[in-house]
Amino acid sequence: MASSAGFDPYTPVLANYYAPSLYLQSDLESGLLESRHGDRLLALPETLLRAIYTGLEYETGQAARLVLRNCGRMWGKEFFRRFAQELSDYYQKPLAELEMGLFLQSLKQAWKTHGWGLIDIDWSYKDQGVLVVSIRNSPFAAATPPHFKRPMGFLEAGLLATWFSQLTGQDLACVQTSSEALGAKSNLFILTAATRLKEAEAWVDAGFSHEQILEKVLQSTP
Amino acid sequence: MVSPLEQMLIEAEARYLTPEQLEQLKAYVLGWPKRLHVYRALREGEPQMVSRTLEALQKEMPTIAPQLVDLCRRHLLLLLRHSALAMLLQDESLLRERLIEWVEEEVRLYGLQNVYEVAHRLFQQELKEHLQPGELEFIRPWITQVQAALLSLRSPSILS
Repeated sequence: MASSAGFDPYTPVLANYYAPSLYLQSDLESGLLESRHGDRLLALPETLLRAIYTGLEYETGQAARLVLRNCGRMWGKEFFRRFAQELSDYYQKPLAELEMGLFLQSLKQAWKTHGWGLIDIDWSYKDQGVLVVSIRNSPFAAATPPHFKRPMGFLEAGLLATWFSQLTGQDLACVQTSSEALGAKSNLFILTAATRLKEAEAWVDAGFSHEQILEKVLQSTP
Repeated sequence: MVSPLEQMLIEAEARYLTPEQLEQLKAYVLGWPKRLHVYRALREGEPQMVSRTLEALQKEMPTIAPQLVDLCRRHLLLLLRHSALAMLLQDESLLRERLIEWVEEEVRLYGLQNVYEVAHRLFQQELKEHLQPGELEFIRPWITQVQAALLSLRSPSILS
């Protein structure tokens, strides 16, 4: 940005695109919610979320996980497309040219403004090809029916897997290793190449902790 | 989120405003010309105040990277513009949602606390020099509030 241009009092200084009062626009009369980009938004009542979990389990049993994950994947694909378009329109450059800090901050704000909780990405293991994502205050964990005794955030896991796959151009998979619904401080997700996570869901089923699973994943060959 | 003024009007549904509310409204309206005047003074003074702050910053911290100076410049502009609007409309919620939440994340990400201690002191100095004492008292509480929120951050940078 040229320094003289920045001082024009009528040129905005670009910052938080996802500030809730700017991003969420509603029309009381028609009952429609839209983003500032003009895309439709959908408010999900808690009852519906609960019903999706229990209804799917009733109808499909174990396959509910797969259904949720696939829904998450489609959702992730759409969300990435929208996110990329919104940010590149706003900052007037392609997503790949955005500074990393700006990009990450926008992701966090977008997550929060959409009401999906507080997302944090831990890059400590990036050299080993592993990302750990933490989400606090997740509405999806909050709506999990209490009889589930393992993390059920397949929707979020699918969303994260696709989102980061699109971002990195690699085939990534995601496993949830701890859940607020089971009393954990945050929902933790491990993301890495799909081939390294083949057994991960079985480890979760067997009751391994986040640390134990992370250890196993880090030991596997990239 | 609604401003305090809007909230008051919502509460006064189908009744008269209470004497206290009327006083608040009166103070808001009576203060308007002065606030508008200060708002304009800030708008006119922005280029000078910000560029002089940055010059002084580079003098005090000669090794500071150009990217950080640019980030600082953007933050000072955001600080001034949002504080000016919050002051004009007497609406604190604008600061938290549109300014503090965003900037504090960047300050943490880039480990800018040390730079900010200097930059904010210099900026306060610039404000004092640029505005009349009667104007300064209108804007200073808003700016100080943001600076206090940002300087209370103390966590290591993850990108350094």
